[in-house]
Amino acid sequence: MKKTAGLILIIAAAILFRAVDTLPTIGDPQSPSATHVSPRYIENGPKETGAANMVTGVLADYRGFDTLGETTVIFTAGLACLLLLGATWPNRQAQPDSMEWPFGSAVLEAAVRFATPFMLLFATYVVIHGHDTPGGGFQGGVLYATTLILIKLTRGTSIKWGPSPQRALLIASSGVALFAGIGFLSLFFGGSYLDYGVLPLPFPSSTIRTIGTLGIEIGVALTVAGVLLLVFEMLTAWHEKEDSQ
Amino acid sequence: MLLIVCAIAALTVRQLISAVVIFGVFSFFSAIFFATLGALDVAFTEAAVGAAVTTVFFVSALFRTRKHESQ
Repeated sequence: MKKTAGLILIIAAAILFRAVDTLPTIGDPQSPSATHVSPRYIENGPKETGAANMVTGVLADYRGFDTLGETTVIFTAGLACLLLLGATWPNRQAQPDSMEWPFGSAVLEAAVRFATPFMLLFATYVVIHGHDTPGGGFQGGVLYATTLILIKLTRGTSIKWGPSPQRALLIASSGVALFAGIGFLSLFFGGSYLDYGVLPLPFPSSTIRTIGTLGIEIGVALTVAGVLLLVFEMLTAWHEKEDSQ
Repeated sequence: MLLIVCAIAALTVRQLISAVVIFGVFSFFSAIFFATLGALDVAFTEAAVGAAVTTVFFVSALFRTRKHESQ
């Protein structure tokens, strides 16, 4: 059995390594992926979406529907974790000092205290400025969640700072709702779904698109941060039943 | 090259916790790799998600399972 598996692995690896040779080189303008829609995105993207960072322009505007799907997938994954790890969650009370992490010291605490405001500020910057520099809702949301997780790691999970698991779930679902809501809003004003250009705001079209993109970026950030916090809480929460076993 | 070394090390190392840490190192190297290819957004995501959050999740999952084992 093991031999067969090894053989299959070697054959698959051989095929894949053989195929690597035939791939176009990186940055080749003649490659299939660079000849169909890419030139249009590159030529019209900054003008149409108002986004200097083309990745954000494509992700949040041209392919907004894909991104909505991704956000939903993340949210569903968070719900699945909740289902797996927290079946009796509403009844569970976090016991004070029950989950002391084996590290955490005065030095660490002081360092985290110093770094936290900057991390939160940087996360906000990444979300808002994702238009012009690398970043966006996803990365910013991860940074938010990481900051809060860092605090919980150094101070113990019993610290009452940051959203509770219930609140985290609420944040995650409101993020998805914000994203989908902006989509429906543009539908309501006579455009296609997620076509922000039609929103009745007193700005030129590209500025409105920028605002719409910012809105969905915030939605993505909320979802990601909420889901990651939720999963972390689920992984570290102390199970009362385990205690009595 | 470093990526391959890290991947093999993460697979072969005995202790799970070291495997997790090496996996985080792997993520950082791949983030650098993405950055050198010019895919800064992907590199950013890889560094934040792969290196930081995944490692934390794996470690906390390990803590949970260890508790079960000791009981």
